[in-house]
This record gives sequence, structure tokens and C-alpha cells, in this order.
Amino acid sequence: MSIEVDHIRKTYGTFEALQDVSLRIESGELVALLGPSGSGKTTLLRIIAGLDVPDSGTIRLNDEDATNSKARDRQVGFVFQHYALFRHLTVFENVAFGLRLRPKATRPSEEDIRGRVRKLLELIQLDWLGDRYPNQLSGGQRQRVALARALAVEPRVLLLDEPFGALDAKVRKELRRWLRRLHDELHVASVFVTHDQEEALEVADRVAIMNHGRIEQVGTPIEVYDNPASAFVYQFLGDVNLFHGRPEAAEAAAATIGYVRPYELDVARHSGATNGAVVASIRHIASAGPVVRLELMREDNGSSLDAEISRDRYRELALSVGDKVEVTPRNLRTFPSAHIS
Amino acid sequence: MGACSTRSTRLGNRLHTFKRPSILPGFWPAFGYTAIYLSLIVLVPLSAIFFKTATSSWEHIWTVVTSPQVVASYRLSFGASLAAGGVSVAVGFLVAWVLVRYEFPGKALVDALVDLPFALPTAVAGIALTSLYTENGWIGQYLAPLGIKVAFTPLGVIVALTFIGLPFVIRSVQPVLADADQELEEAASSLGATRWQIFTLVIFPLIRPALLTGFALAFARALGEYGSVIFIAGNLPMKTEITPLLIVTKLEQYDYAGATAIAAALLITSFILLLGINVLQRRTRKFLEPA
Repeated sequence: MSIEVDHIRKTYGTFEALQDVSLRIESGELVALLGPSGSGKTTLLRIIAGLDVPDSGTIRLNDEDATNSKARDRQVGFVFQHYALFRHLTVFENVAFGLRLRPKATRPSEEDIRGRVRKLLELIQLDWLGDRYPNQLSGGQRQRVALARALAVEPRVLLLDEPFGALDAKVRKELRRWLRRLHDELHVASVFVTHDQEEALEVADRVAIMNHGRIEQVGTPIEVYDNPASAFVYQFLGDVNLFHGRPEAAEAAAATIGYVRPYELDVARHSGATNGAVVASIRHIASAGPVVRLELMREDNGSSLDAEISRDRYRELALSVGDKVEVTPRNLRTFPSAHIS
Repeated sequence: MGACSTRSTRLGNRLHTFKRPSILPGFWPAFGYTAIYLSLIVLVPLSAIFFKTATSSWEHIWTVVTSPQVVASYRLSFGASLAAGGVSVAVGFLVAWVLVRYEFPGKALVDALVDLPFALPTAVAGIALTSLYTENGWIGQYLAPLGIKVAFTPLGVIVALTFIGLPFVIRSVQPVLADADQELEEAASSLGATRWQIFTLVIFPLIRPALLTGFALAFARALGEYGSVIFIAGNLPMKTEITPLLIVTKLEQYDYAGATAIAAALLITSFILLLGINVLQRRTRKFLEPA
């Protein structure tokens, strides 16, 4: 089922949480809402779920106007950041909750309910924990139970609010891959909110990057990463170095800022000649890990640069702290409105 | 290693002592103080009741505690206290709900007013309630034409006891309700729950232990209440005499053994009832226990 967000606005007092946001999510798609805290991504998710009401604009589910329908009528599965499990119910009853409260006419039989819950618990690989209470589970287990609970009612849309935000890095990685596989099996439209760009780029079919209540760019991970629409998108999707407009670059105005990723900097030993390259000295080297990170200070204006080079290159150059290097950006980007907000 | 060593220390503890390792020191002083406090302030005076009762013959005790007048007072005391506890739970929950969920001008004032029955001398409350509910009182004059008599009837006793018991329920429920995460209601709502289902299936189970605590406190307090009730009850023998009044009457007649016998009967019954409520409460809190 598709989700369509059409010119949604929402203000809290004087704070504009969403300013004219439009987005369409097709059935079977997994879309990430990515942005810093306060960018309005959770508000948007809650409005889609019917937990918040927009000031103006329309929400369409399956191309039907759902703006004024109640949360319980939307058939939306919502997974909260802090799980929101019913702590007075066992894991099994938590998952069965949505089925049990249906009116008699549409409620599956007790046998059916048991079967479906058991299947879901197997799906989240927690079938052995059915009679435990939520506060006897770990964070990752609770989040999986919350997901199973949302899936039990066979939602047409799955919405996840920072689903892995409260988990440690390793569990988070596991769970997001698991979520991706799960989504592919379910064929629903899924939206998840995150402030972790790595998570968004790895899992989502499309990423919507939000800032100050607006969507800055929507696209596949490759699109937004390779062709960022704004400086904000560029800096939000990864580490960035700033090159302030250099006088020798004739065509660039003085105020222009160039952006370059740390791994797009070529590093070479300083030869002594001034051939246009930026000269910098090494302040710190982090050599553990797949790439070697260099913290550099420009000789000409004292600003700092981060560079990432391969371990081979690092060994070849035999760098140590204090050495002078020449830095050449391979892929310098500029944006019309060059301010990172 | 961690799990293994915890298990062995736990086992060791269970074998040798019931003290558990803890971050904060002071188990023995705290435990000792608790035991001494309970003995001196609660157990010794209470056992005095039984010793005093025992100075009389069984026959005398039995005639006193089963005399028709006393039995009628049990009925009123327990009946009215249970009813007042029930009313306190219903009304107290509503007040707590309003105080937690809504913002309104004067909220702090209302919140402070809740505790007033604790501070007010109960006799003052009794006189005030009586003058309000007599047939020509502010409220009583409107109830009289409807055939409802409050003052000098069992209903009056319930009113007085509710007045006394209400704060216990409100103060027990309020913090639990404030802690209940609004996300739980949203989760239930997105799973398809109606408002009524959200209340009965999500909110109520969470506050049920607190409601039971409030009920137990209000009930226990109502059972022993004397000051506020004797004014509004009218104290008609066999009709509106509460048990504490009969105890005082016996004392005034220098029948100390008789007075303590009734007190003992009252105590034993209320202890059994409170124990029952406690067990019930423990059962409703099962979900809070660790693995």
C-alpha cells in the first residue's frame, strides 16, 4: 500500500516542525527519513500513523484520504524507539494484543491467534521467551518483540521511529539487516526514522534527508550520496572537509566553499616546490582500522583537514606526526547556497 | 564467569544468611531498626490488647464479641469501610487522573487540597459533614425531598469514611499514573484498540496495584476511624453504631476486658482482610519481578 504525504504543515506554538512536506512512498518500498534531531522526521512519521494531526495538508494511504481517520483505523504498524511494550503482559500476550482486541466478528479463533503469535515469535527468533515479561528481556529482544507486535495485526504500512536508536552498535547492525530481509518478505510500505546516515544508506531503498522541517532531498542511497542537492545533505551523509575559496581559483568567487570527503584527498610527501597544492602538517594519525585517518593542519591558514588513505599508501609514505604533506582534493564540490546549516 | 560466580554467591547466601551483597552498606542497622520499631511501636501495644483480653474468661469474651449490638456494629463498620474504600477508589482514581492528565488554572491549589483531610481534626470534619447533610443543611435540604437521608444513617457513615479515605487512593495512584508512558496508549491505539480498550487493557492493569494499595489504606483507616463518624452517625444502637464507638463505650463503663475483646476481634478480622489484599496486590504486580 502506498503512502502519500501532500503539503503537510505542523507547528508547535511558534516552532515550525514541518514546513510544506510532500513525499510519496510506493508499496514494497523501504524509505528512511534521515535528519538531525529536531528536523521533523519523527513528527512526520507520527502524522502518517495518525498519532499527530497536521495543521494543513493531506495524508493518503492507498490513494485514499486518511488525514482525519483515527490511528486505530489506519492499519499502521508503529514501532517506538523505546519499544512501548505492555509490561504487565507476557511477550506472547504483547504480540497477541492487537488480535485479541478485535471485535468478535473479525477476531481470529484462539487457536489461530496462538498459531500466528507462535509464527511471529519464531520469525523474531524469540519463541523460547513467550512467557517472559518485557522487563526480563534485553533491549534488542524488546525491540524485536515490539516489531512482532506491530506485525501481528498485518499492517498495510510499517512505521519505525528510530527503531535501533537505543541499542548498541553490534546489535543495531544485525537488526537492521534483519529488518531489510523482513521487509522484503512482507511487501508493505515501510518508513523508518533515523539520524544514523550509515543505517539509512545501507538499509533503505530511498532516503529522504530532512532539515528544519523540510525535505532537502529524496533519492536512492547512491543518488543522494553521489549527487547531494545541498551542502547540508553532503555534510550530513559523511565526514567533510571545507576549502574556503582560494584566490588562485579564478572562476570561484571569494565566498565560495569547496567540500571534499576525507577519502577524496590525495596525500603526498611535501616536495618543497609550491605547485598549487595545499601544504599541511600531520597532527595525529589513527592507524588502526581498514583505513588510516590523518588529522592535518593547513600551513597557510591553520584550519584543520581530515584525510583517509589506505594502509598500503600509509606504509608507502611512511608518515609520522609532524611531517609535512601536500594535499590535493580529487573531487571538490561547490553548492549554490554554500552555508552548512 | 560472571553468571557462575553470582550463582554460587547467591546459593551461599541462601545457605548461610539472607543478607545479599549490596552497594549501600547498613543492612544490619537498618534491618535491626526495622525490627525494633515494629516491636516497640506496633507489636507490643497490639499484643497488650490480647493480654488484656486474656485476663477475662473465654465465656465473657465470647458473650461480649457476639452480643447482637456488637455484631450489628461489625456489620456497619466493615460494610461502611468497604463501601467507602470502594467509593474512594472510584472517585480517587478520577481525581488522580484529572490531576495528572490535564492542565487547568488552580491545579496546584487542588493538588494541595487533596491532603487536607489528613490534617483536619477528624471531629471537625464530622461536625462539618453533619451540618451539611442534616435535613436542613446545605446539601441535606435538597436530598430530603428525594427521600435520601444521609446524616444519622449508615449512608452518613460512608460519606464520612470516604472523606477520610479519599487522599490515600489519590496519593497512591497519582505517581503511578504520572509514570505511565503515553506511548503505551499510542501503541495500543495503532494496534486497533478503542479508547475503552486502551483504558481497560493498558492503563487499568498498570495502576491496579496502586489502586489496591489505596483501597487497603483507605479501608484500614476507615475501620479505625472514630472522630468524624460519631457525629454524622447519630449512634443509634443496632443501626448506626460503629465498632470503635462500642469500644469507647465499654471503656467508659470500665469494662476494659470487654473493650479489648472487641478490639481484638476487629484487629484479627482486618488483619486477615489486609493480608488478602496484599496477596492480591502481589499477584497483580507479578510483571515487575526480575527474571
